[in-house]
Amino acid sequence: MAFQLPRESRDYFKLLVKRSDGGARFDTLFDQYYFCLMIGLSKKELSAESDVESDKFVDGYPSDYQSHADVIAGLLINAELFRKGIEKNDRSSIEKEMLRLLDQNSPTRLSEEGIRLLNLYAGTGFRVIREAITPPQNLEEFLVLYHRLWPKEEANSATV
Amino acid sequence: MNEELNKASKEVLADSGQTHEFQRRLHKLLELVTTSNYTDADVREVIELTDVAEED
Amino acid sequence: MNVKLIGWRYKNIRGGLNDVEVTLGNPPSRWTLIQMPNGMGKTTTMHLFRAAFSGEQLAPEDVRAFRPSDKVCTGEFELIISIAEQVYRITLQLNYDTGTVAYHTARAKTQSGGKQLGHVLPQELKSLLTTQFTRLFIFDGELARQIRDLNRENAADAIKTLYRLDRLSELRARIERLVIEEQQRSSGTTRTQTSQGLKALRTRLDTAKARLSELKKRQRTLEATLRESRSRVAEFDAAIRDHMQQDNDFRSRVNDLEIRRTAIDKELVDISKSTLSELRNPAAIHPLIINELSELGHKMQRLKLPKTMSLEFFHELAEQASCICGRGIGPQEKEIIRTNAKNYLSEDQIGVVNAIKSAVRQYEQATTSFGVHAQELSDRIAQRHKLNGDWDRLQAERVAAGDVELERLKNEKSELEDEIPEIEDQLEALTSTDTAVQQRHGVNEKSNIPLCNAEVRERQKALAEATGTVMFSKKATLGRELIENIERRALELIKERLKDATNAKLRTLIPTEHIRVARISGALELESDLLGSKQQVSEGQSLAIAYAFLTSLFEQAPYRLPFIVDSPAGSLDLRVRREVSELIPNLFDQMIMFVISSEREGFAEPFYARKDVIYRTIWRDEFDTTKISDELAFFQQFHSDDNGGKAAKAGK
Repeated sequence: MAFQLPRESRDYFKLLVKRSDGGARFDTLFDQYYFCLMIGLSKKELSAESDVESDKFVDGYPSDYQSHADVIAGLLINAELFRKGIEKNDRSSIEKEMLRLLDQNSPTRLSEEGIRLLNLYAGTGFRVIREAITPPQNLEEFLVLYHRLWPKEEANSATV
Repeated sequence: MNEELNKASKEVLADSGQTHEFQRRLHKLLELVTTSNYTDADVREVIELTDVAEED
Repeated sequence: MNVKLIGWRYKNIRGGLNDVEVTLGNPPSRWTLIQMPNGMGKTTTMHLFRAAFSGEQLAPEDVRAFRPSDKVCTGEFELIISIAEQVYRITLQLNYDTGTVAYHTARAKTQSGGKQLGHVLPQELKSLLTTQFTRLFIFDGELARQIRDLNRENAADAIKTLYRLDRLSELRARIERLVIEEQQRSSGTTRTQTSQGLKALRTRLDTAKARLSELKKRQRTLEATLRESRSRVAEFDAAIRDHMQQDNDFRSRVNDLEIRRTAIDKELVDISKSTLSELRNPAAIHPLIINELSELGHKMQRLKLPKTMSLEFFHELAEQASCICGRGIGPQEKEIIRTNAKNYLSEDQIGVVNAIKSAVRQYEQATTSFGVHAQELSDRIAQRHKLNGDWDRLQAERVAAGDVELERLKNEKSELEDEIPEIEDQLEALTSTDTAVQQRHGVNEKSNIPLCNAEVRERQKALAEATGTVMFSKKATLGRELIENIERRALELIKERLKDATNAKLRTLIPTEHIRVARISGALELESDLLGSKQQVSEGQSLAIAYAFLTSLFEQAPYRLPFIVDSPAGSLDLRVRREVSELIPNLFDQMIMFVISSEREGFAEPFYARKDVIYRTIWRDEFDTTKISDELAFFQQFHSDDNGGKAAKAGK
């Protein structure tokens, strides 16, 4: 299992990926995946398998993201614990979840199941983004609008 | 290969209008055939050498 | 090279042929007449001869047909021949139970003189002696009659066998099979087997190619238009700038705006890039995320996850004799420890979880910067927007001040700018390789270049395959025709030669009569046949002709073979028998004839005047013992009835 983009996200982000006039843009396809993923993980909702592309676009984390692999794994565990309604004191279930989602031999730290779930979370994130923001023309505007998807920072622990 | 087959082969092939290469190869194939010493591949090769009119 | 039959031997063969040996001497006599009552095994013997010469793998039912009785499990038949003076013994080992036959060959006077497994003869002879071929020199008298039977093809068949022309027919059949295979192979893509079908495929390909060419032309046009539009927009920008700079008053304002616009664009790029880089750390995105990480960290801490005891620890513990608490660890305890160890993470896994734990704790005190950067970007976007507005207002001022020229430039530029996205969209539809994009535009192979290209390639492939198949088929047909012609011509030439050879023999054999072969079609046709007056040729002469033909046939073979005939004169009348007997044996170098007593009269007499003849009688006496006699007198007076009953002997 490797990383798979949400369907139609390539088309949606295309102007941010190639821009001929030297403006700022995404460095890799993983950037757009990541932005979708963060929204999806905070919503803690999985998309349908059919919302995800069937072919992989990259096997593992690009170098810019490798150092954040542990944090992403932690966020995944958190999302799954919430989604499955596992009690915070249920130690053995929590440990089982960790076992299920992690793979010590993988450079991503994640098992096949773990990556599969990340892909589905990214799918949800893309859905949210695309409903709220029209296809972005440039990176600076996208970043501003993306920021607005998250709750205002004065509020406390509200979910998106 | 017996005399008559040899002669018949040369006669018929000479009249056939086929290339020398083809004539030689078919004659050789017939030699092999009389001792059953040939394969499908041998046959295919000779057929491929046959000269036929191109598609109009 | 001469092949002679020297003798043969039976063991446990039906017909009372057990432990019987028949020798003809070495060198053998030229003619051998063997008198055997019916039911004694003549047919069996003929069958065994054929097998021994050809090395045929007999079918189980054929093997068992040789079985004399149920009590007997195995049998043997040995053929003794000389090939160019060297003696060969070929043995058939028959297993009646399993229905199998095994061949052994022994050669006298070789280094390994002993028996070897297999049917081992000189290669040239062996390839000649097919089962079919053996019927041409080991046969029953009927064959000779059949060669003269104008309703049959026996003469032509004999020629085809001896001269291997049947192999040419096999070759033609094989070619046909290859064509069918070829057609089946390519019929996955197309069923075309005809020229019309090919034409249709070619037309389809041409259509697709023409379409591709059209689409590419369109692409070039669109791209050219796009380039032009863009460069014209740039020109307009430049023209507008120049125009505005013409006025001194405006010039400084224009320059000032330009500088500020460029600066803002650069800031936007820089901030975007650095923000993007920072955001790759999830904690930088939003405090919510930091909260979650923090919660997770606390959870793990509180629950003492991961447990510091590992899977490995417990496995090692299970190996010990006693626990750290002092209690002994017996087999039962070991079992329980091992089972429950599975609930613990292994050391590697603990490592990973610990890494997560520390990463997560690390961000507890982090703050996010996204909000700040988003604000920075937002401000600058607004500034850019304002600058653009100022720029537009500058232009509007000029227009309002009567600068018609400026207004014109602006309008034209605006029109062009509207067109550009439209053209880009069309180009995308025309050139995109992305399926989702293609679907969005609703294009197919008629309106999209990559798809059209794919179709061209597919049609090229189909055409190539079909062409290949059709060509192959045509070539094969021509090839088959040639081979058939060669076969026919060769047959003609052979028949011509055989006819002459047969007639040459007949001139010696029947010098006084004008009996000649006129033609060999399927059978031997005499001149008198063609004239429709068969009566002129006696039956005996007719048979003589057949035999003359057979020997002519064999003249070309590299080996001189013995002829073994069953009932050579069977149903003929006395006079004819005599004739046959006078004429025919002279044709052969060695001939073995099997007769029954009733055939003997008339047929045997002409032999008495010849030298080099064996007269042998084989029969079963009243005790069922098989007996052999070489006495001529005995031979001449031997009688048996046709059911192969006991002989009434005179002078036993």
